[in-house]
Amino acid sequence: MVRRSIKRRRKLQESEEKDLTNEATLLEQIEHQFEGCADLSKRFLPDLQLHLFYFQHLLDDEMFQTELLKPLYQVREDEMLTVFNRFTYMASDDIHEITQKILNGYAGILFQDKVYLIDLYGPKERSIEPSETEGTINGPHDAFVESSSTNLSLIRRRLKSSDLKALDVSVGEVTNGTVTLLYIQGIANEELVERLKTRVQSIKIDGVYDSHMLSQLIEDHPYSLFPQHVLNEKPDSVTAELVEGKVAILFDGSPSVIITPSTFFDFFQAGDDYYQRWLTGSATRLLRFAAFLITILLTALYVSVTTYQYEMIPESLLQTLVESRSRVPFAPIYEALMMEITLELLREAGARLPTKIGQTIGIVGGIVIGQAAVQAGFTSNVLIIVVASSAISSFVIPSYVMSASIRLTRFGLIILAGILGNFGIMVGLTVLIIHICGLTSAGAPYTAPLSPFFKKDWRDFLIRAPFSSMKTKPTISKSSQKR
Amino acid sequence: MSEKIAPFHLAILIYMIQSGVTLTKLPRLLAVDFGTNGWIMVILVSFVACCNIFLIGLVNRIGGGKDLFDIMEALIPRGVMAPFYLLLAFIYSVLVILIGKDYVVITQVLSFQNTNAYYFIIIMLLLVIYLVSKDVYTITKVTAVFFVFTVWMTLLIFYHIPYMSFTRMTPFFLAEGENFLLGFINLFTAFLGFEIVVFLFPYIDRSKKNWFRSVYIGNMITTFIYLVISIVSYMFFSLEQLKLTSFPVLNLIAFIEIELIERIESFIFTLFLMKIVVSIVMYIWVAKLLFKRALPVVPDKWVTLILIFSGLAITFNANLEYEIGEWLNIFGLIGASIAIALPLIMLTVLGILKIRRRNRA
Repeated sequence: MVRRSIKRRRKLQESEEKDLTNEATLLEQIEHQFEGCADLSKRFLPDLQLHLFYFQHLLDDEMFQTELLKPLYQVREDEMLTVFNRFTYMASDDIHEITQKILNGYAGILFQDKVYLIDLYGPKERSIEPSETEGTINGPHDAFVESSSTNLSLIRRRLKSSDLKALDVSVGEVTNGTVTLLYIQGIANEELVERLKTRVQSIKIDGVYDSHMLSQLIEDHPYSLFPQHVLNEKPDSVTAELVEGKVAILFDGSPSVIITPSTFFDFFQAGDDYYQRWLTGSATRLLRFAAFLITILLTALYVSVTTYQYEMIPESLLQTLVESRSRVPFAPIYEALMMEITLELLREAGARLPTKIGQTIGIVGGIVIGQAAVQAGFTSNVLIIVVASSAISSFVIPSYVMSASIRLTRFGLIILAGILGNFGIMVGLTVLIIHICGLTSAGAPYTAPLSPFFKKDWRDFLIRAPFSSMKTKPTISKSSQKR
Repeated sequence: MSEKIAPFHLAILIYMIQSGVTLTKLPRLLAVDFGTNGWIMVILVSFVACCNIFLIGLVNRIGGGKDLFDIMEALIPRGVMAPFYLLLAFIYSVLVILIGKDYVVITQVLSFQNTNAYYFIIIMLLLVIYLVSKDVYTITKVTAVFFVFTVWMTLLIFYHIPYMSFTRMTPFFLAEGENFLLGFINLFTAFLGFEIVVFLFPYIDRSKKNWFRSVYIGNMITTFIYLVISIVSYMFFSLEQLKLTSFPVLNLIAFIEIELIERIESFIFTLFLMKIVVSIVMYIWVAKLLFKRALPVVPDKWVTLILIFSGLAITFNANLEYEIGEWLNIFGLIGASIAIALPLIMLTVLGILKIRRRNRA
């Protein structure tokens, strides 16, 4: 509905523009285009007989002074054209081009019957800081910011090769955001690059506001619960992925970079794995996979065992469990769901609230979940340990998007365990495996290198082998070049 | 379909189709039918299965990778073959529905004595419908992951090594067996699954020359696991005890006790669901191929439902463990005959075609 009204408005505007072009001067056309844009700066320099149009907040102040104002004040009217003939200026009388350029941080100078445009783009932006979502202990701490050009510079600084190619594509019918496809020629699969370009171009949407949104728009399976592209905020990781033959997609306005193709197991990798010794890196990675299994299975197993299979608990442990559960009036499934939902509420509240108030949530949660719930007989001590362990495990997974998907899956398994016990858990797992195996990321199998089995890629899968043995690039990037 | 099944995945697929619920009862079957040192029969029957695979290999070599349909229809018109295709499709669907029922009945005995088995059957068949709706390449990918989730169970036998004793073995071979022939057939049906490769020829990545070796490898994995489990059972239980234990392998697993958990047989047995789903899915997939070849007008999703419902309808009376066992004996025998007959018939047809071509030349 909104899109239709925007289209109608745009059509109306275009027809109005046509009428104007015929009769009005360029000055009137520009003023008409930016009618109602109070933030557009318009200046008239009477001694030079020229009009200036620009958005002050999009320009770099220093460049504005040195590149534009200073030269203008130093020349006479008859010398103006020599100034404008310099390579920094481009002349145009096409109102569409002029409008787009001004919106993209150019200053427009209307002189005689032409507009001279100069690129002074340099809006205020966040300085480069360590990433808040992707922590790292060893290795570089700088992270991407919202500006695409700064992000590109962070990558180019690390990858000094002219083979690193960047393709610009615009996305969003109203917002006109800039998407940059980054790849290394000769290493990346160029057919994939072309396919991705077409896919981005074919997105029909009013606006794209973040890489996460863009990622969902270009996924192979948009209805799946699982993300199909790794999003990364670390320039060193993105550089490594590019060198491995993958394609990075930057979106101007987002600090996250899409890496494609990605596999399910890529979501369990972190930069630290490579900066630590290979044995410790491998152990950490194995720990993450164990964390994945704990996240999806532990609470479900608790529910299944306490509901249907008490015989699985050894006698010594059974006593503790029975004692702990003796005051709880609810069936294990309700008890578990209640606790899991409370924990999710706490997590969400912690994420939404400002840091200072967020700490209060921690204390409230700690007391409510830790003590009061048990004392009130709402839940058992053992369940608290189980729920807390599976929650902690879920946060071990480096990708927040994947971690959220996995946490949601857990609820399904808990419900199945409550209804059908261990059989239910297995049914859930089977569905999960079938679903995950059917996914692809940019055409590449999502479960590689496990299935399809790529023997060579196992050196950087469950473990991170020593660098000397990692000689080939991942098979899914379809490149036979040496690493 | 651009992707093809890699030889590695084929080996896993063959093993996963072969190995199923029978594994849990295998040592008892060996003890009852063959008696002392019955485990040795695993090697013998595996050899017979290998011979059968060799015949299929010959079909592949002589037929140049053509599947059953292409070979048969080169001699006999499709219209004549159609009833046979349909018959084969229904036999396969009945066979796998029985396998599914067998699994569900054991699950019921272990954990859900008061729940109607049909709930579990329906849930399992929904899984089957979900998986069979994917292409065969995805099915093999799923199978490989199921393999990883289930194959580690074999390692559990390390727990039993200290409790095994040679005193429970005797120097007598195959004495005290009750029915050698029935045992032989039963054991051979436990190896069934390899014959499906006849239908898979066009879907296999043939870039590697000796890809067919993976069918043998799949059979070898099954043999190895059957053999290890049988030997461990023979040395863990006594012969008489084995004869009286319904599911010796589950008892072996139930014996495992660690500090945190014990009696894991009910959990481990649920893992068999993955194996069973693969077996059912692959046979239903083949039955679908056969059905569609005979009646191409029926839409894809209806074919699966028709096959599953007809399988359920035909086996409606088989609900108790012994009933299912009796049905399985009959359909196992039919399945085994088909496995042996298929390559023989195909070889005959190929021979006739060759003679005819030579005469024409």
